[in-house]
Amino acid sequence: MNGQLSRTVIEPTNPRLNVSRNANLPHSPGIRVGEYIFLSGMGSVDPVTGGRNLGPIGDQIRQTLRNMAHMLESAGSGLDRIVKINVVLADIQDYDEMNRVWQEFFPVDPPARTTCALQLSNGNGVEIECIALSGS
Amino acid sequence: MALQRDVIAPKDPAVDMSPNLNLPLSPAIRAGEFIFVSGMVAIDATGERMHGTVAAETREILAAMAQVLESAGSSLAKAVKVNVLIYSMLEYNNMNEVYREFFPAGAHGLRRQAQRRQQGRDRMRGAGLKQ
Repeated sequence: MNGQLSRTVIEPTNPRLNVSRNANLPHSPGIRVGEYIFLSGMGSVDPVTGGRNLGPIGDQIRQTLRNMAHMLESAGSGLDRIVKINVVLADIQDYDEMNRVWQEFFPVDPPARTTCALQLSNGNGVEIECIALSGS
Repeated sequence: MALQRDVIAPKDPAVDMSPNLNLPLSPAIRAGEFIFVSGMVAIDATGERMHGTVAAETREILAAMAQVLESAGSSLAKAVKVNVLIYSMLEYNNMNEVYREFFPAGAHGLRRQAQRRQQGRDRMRGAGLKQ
């Protein structure tokens, strides 16, 4: 072994989806460490305007997962490489709707997942973070 | 060569929440040398949700978590990080007493508690190292 794993920042190819930079927030969109990718919590952002895309919760979850796919693909990974995903809902009543949307994005061998509900900022109905493997 | 990603299927199907509760998640995923376990709530031997005291639910969850990890060739002793969600911090000591039974002094992983609104009373997740 020649020492430490490398730590690199991951950024989305689409600059509109670089929320931390656009909103001047003190976190990275994602970090790669060795073969693992850790993404920050993501909300529903419009990939064209870069603004918040708040609508029905099902659409917010879809948009967030599409943005997450973009983020992972920007790093040469993808949704099918996610191993653990954490979901925060603003309202636990949206749990069943989340599960319906989930099947659209993860039809086979879905990631391990933890879900809870708590207060979210900026009117977001959902925030999702994940750990994924690099590569495909 | 990209690392392999494998779904872990518990040996005892009763602890597998995903088909029993019709949830689109895997109980655990192995990724390289790490195992990532889904959040778990208390379920009984038949696979149904078990609502009891926080102590009883904690015991049920940790026993099931041990099974999931053992199905992957790991164990609670190899847990590196455990997150606990508890509906009220007044129950903190009740959870801890049971938690200590499963993680004897000196052997416990890092843990974080948060008090949150959620569906289940108790939900835990762990990541354990593979053998």
